[in-house]
Amino acid sequence: MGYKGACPERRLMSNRSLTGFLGRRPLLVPGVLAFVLAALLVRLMFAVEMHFDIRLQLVAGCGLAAVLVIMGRFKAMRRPPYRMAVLLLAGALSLRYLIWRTTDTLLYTGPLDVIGLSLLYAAEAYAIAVHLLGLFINIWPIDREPAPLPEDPAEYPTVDVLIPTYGEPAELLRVTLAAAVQIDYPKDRFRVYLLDDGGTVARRNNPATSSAAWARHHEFMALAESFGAHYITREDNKGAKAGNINHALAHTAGELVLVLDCDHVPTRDILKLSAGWFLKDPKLFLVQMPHFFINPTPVERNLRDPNVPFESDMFFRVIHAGLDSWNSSYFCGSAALLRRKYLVEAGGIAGTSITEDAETSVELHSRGYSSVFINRPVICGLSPETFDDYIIQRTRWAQGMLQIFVLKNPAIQKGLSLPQRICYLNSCMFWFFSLARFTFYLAPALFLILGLQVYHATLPQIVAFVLPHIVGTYVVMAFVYGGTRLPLFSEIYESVQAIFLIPAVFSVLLNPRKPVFKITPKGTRLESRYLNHMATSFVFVVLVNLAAMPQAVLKYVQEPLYRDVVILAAGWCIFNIFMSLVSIGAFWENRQVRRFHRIMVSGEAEVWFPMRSTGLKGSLNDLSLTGLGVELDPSFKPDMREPVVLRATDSYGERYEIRARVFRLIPQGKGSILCGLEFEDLERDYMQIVRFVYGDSARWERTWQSRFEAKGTPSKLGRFLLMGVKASAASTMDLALTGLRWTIKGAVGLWGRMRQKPAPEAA
Amino acid sequence: MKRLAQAAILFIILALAQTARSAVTEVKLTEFTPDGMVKLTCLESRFGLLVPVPERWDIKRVTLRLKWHNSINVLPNRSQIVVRWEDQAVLQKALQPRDTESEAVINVPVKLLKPGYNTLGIAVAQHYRDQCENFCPPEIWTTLQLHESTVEFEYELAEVPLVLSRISDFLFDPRLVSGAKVNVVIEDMKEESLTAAAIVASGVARRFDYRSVSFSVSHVLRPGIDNILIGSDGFVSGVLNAEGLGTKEVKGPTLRMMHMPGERKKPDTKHALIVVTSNNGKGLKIAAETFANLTFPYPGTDELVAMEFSLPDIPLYGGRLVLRSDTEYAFETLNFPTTSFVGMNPPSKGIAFRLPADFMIKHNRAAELVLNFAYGAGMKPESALNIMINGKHVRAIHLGRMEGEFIDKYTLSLPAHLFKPGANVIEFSPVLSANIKECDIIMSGNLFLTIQGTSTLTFPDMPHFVELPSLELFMLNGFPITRWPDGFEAMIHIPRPNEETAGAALDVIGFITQRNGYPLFGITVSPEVPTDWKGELMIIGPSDAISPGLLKGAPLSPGAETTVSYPVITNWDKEVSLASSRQRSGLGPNSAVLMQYQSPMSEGRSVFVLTASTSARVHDLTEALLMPTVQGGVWGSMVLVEFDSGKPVAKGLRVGTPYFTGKEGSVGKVDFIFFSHPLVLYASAGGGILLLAWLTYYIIRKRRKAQADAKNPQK
Repeated sequence: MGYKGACPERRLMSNRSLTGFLGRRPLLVPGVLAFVLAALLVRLMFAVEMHFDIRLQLVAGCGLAAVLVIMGRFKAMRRPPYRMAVLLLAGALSLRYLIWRTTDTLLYTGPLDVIGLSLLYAAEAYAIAVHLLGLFINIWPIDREPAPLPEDPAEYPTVDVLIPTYGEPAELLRVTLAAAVQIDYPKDRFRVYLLDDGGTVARRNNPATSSAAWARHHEFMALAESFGAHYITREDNKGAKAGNINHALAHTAGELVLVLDCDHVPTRDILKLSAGWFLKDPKLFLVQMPHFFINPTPVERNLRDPNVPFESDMFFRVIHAGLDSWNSSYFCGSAALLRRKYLVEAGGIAGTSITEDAETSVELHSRGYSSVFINRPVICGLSPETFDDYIIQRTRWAQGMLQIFVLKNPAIQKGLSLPQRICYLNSCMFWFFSLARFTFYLAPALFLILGLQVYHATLPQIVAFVLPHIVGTYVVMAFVYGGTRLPLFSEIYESVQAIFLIPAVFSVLLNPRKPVFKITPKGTRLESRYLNHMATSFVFVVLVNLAAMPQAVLKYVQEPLYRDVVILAAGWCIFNIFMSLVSIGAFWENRQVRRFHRIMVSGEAEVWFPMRSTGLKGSLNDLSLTGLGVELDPSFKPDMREPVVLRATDSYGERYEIRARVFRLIPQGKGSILCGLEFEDLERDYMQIVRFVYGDSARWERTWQSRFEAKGTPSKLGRFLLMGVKASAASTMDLALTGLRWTIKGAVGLWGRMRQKPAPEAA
Repeated sequence: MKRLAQAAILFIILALAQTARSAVTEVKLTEFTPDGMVKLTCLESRFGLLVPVPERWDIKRVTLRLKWHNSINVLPNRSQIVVRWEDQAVLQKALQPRDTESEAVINVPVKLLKPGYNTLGIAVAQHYRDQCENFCPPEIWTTLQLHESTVEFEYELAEVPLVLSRISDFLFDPRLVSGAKVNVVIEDMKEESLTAAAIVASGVARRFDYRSVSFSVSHVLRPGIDNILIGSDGFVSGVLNAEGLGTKEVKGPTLRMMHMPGERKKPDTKHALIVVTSNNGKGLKIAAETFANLTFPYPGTDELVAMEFSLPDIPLYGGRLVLRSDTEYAFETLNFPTTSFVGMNPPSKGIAFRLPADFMIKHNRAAELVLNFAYGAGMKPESALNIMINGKHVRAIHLGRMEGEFIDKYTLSLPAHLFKPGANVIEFSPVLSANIKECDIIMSGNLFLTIQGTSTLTFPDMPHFVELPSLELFMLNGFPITRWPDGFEAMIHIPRPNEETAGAALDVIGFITQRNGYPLFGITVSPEVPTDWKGELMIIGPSDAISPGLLKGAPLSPGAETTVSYPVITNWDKEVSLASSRQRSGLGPNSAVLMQYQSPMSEGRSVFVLTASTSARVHDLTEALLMPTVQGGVWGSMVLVEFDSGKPVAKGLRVGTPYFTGKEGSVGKVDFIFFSHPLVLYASAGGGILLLAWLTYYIIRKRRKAQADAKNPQK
């Protein structure tokens, strides 16, 4: 007898249990469906690649790319679920290219060819893998609102603000401390600690550093005391920044810990915007907030274009929101509020790698704790000023993330969810870009100069597969990161770092425990403009690719059967030359002598002229710790050095009245002038000035937003091209001028020596 | 005197009688070379071809009729044509500027003939001045009119040696230019007999190599031609007894060679009777397979008893001259031994090979040619070795060193798109120039280029995927029936089995075997209607006998209501606009049709139909398919062969629904739809991406909601 007749109630129970099973796993069915569908699409791509002739491949590739371009132009497509369609389509184009590269172009033509071919293929596969992981991360970024705090301040969690420092000057710390103690939070619920690793007992007892360490120790202790903050130092410098914070954890007791780099000046609302999340989510270990930089990195500054989004914007405005959507927002070393309990449970800040922040997050995420990211600029900080400092910083990041990749690989780390593994893997693997970029620099020249066959494709195949992939990648990059990253700028950022990161990458791969923590120097000043010595590496790249060009012409003429590949290689060489020239342009270090960076801002302000008993309303133009610029429409011309009172209200409704003097007047047209004001007595009004200048997160939000561009990709490409040509021209001109200078100097010296009378032999 | 006259009359009568017993065959020289006209240029030039002389012929006379045209600018006293047979001059004749169309009738001495392939060399020396000549002036030339030139053999058939091993090189010999006919005697028209006959016919055709062979089928011996008697021991004994030939006890799968019975119970020693027999069906197949595979000169007896037969592993797409991908072939393996090109205008030489018919040539891949060669000293630096693929110049190697050179492993990459599925030829054509000035004496002994047989050719792997129907591919090597070269997964269905249709089937089997160079051991021949056949199918029979179900999807269903396509505009020879007419009609008595379409029983598999109104006409069709003129007209999905004018004429057309086949033959239903309708594929891919996008959105939204709910349990 059948099952049905034998026991109908059992069938009912079975149905119930199936319903219950599925009810407990509501995403199982759609998940399986999505997986099957994705597998079918991939299988279809394989089949199509294998069996479609080139005509149909052209239609498919170019057609999909065209659809993607059209979709990318509609703003409505940015909203889910259309957003997913755009990203999936772009991913499909890249995957299609990878399938074609794998199944159709990896041909054995000789042992040396295979080496070159494998390197190039690995570089491409890596780049596509990172690209696809990036699409996954950014498929639907989350935009979190701050969680409200309870009405009763007594219920607020207690917070310790930890500001670790090692070698930074007191001037830098002073601003951060002044801002930190003014954070808008019940005074009995938070304490500020200056964690000085520059004045440790070991350093004070070391004859080499003793006097400076003692001086620093006293100075910083007094500084902390002057602001009502607490000074903590320790016996030695073991564990660098991580050790410093862990030492402080043992001497403090707040429920939450706010970590601030010493150059990261917090806004007043930093805790009010972040602390509420810890009450809302008991499993939360981290609220990470973006790093808002007020000065450009050397790349942006040296390219001499103010309309370039900062390099960090892409990570902190877009990618981190994407990471957060997968509960993978990680500790970035500063502007982060952490729950002490979980931190202590995990053994404090991790110290296996030199990116202790990300490593700590991996540990805590793997323990099942969660994190959030609040996309609001609540600190302002400084980027490295010189290329040398910039490379030091990136080397540390690269080495630290690769240490995590090697020593605590997220792919096999227990406790992480699949999306978290993907997110961390992406963050770690990203730093292999230097190897890929270097390979891309040399691959076409290898073919043209050495004759290595590293890429087997015809022109129709390039149009059918390569072009749609490239177009798709750029369209989706603009779609996802548009506004925070201009097209081709990622290539510039990667290019300028690539060559210098290669030794760092290999050093980690060979000895993962070797790298040591190096502090990124901040606030460096450049007295004059000069070509950074690092640029010479790119001269080599330019020369290699230039040397390949005559070979390209020769091969084009001599080997008509290989014209397709020659055209591809030559085009690639030209692109490499272009990128290298632009990079060389970026290495021209611009002068930077400001003590405090001027920040372009917006907002209303009134300038009161006491001697005239009149006030003028205007709009804020720029701001720094020493003064500000206000655009006025005056009925009179202010006098230079005329005393004024700046009256302004911040976003929280607090009014400021700061005494200042006019020190610059710049006509702006239509009768308005830009009035530069210098704060009259910085020392006296220091707290108020810091509070006004650095305390308003809404102002940073507006400034941040103003960098966010939403222009179309073609116009950005055009601008980039212009900038590249300008930078190249400037580089060439500067090189020529330097050469001319040397020549003239040499000629003058020679002439002088020739005119000197020969000394008497006796003499 | 009277006696003398009587003796003379007797001699004449005897001579006439002798002549009457002899056969005369005249063959055009184009039978031995694909070139219809050969232009000989420069001061000296030559051309050679191989003339087959079968051992089975006892040749009495060979007459060569050679026609040529020569330039009016040649100096008659210094210009001549020389014809050599096996390097012996058989004609020397001055080239006449006033008589530019010439013909020479040459009686080749019979003693110069040797069994096998005889070289016929034609060389010209052409001069236009007495001195200070340009070596290759455009105004001197001689064109050999090979399509109008013939060689005539007068011969008698030699006695057939009763040795089984002589089947290959004596009995079924491709050098028999007069045409080959073989009669197959079978017991009945059942699958067992037909399949054994098919294997035997395949073996016969394979031995005839490129020489087409026509089969007939009967139940009794046919005198005057070679017969193969296939069947059980009882049937064989019956036939042999009826002809008065002795019988022996059959102890297992047996092959026996005998002389055919002649007139008045005397044996016909000029024709052979081969007996393929056994006392059971399995044994009969073993005997047939053994017969088909006797390719080594053993045994030396007239009979063998086979116990077992096993075949080596057969690779997909194997066959005659087929290159396996990603395998390095030495030239000597490819029938290109170490070869020297000597003189100023040496003829080119090539390597002929085949690629699988369904190769999907990928444009970015390249074949690798690694040449080991040497060239002489004192040549002009302009000297070069031209390399041609399928008649097109693609590369040249500069022979630029005056001192000469030996070059090892000169590697050339030849883009794969220069090749095509099927037959290909890589040709080497050196241009060797003497380093002389005007009026120098031309010394050409130093002009040489030797390509070593150790040079190699490697062809890259390609996917197998091709759009069908394509009768061109069938004509090329019997594809897709020969995807497995032994015909595995292929069936020939004879709906109305009789002598004519069975003969037609054997003709086709012979044709396919010769095209692919591999005996069809694995093919099934059956009169039963296949109902669920998942392989390739060929139907041979009159149209009214074919099951209508098998014609589902055919471009034409003679006798039934069918859609007939008519060309409206012929843009190009093979690109036509078609009108369609729904009608009920039939094939006329003088027409036959060959069609290919997708099997109604399995996607990606093909059905071939060879049909006509009568069985005899079906046999005519298969005989016609052996003719080069008809073969040239076979293309598309349907070929109508008309026999009105005596000589059959083929007209091809591409109609019907295209389909695809891959390496494994059958293609999945979904893939089939996608590949047949790219728009459906694009729409499906787009729809798939949209659906996946929505699913992703749904999953993430649900996940976030669940996470938010977990963080706000009070909600």
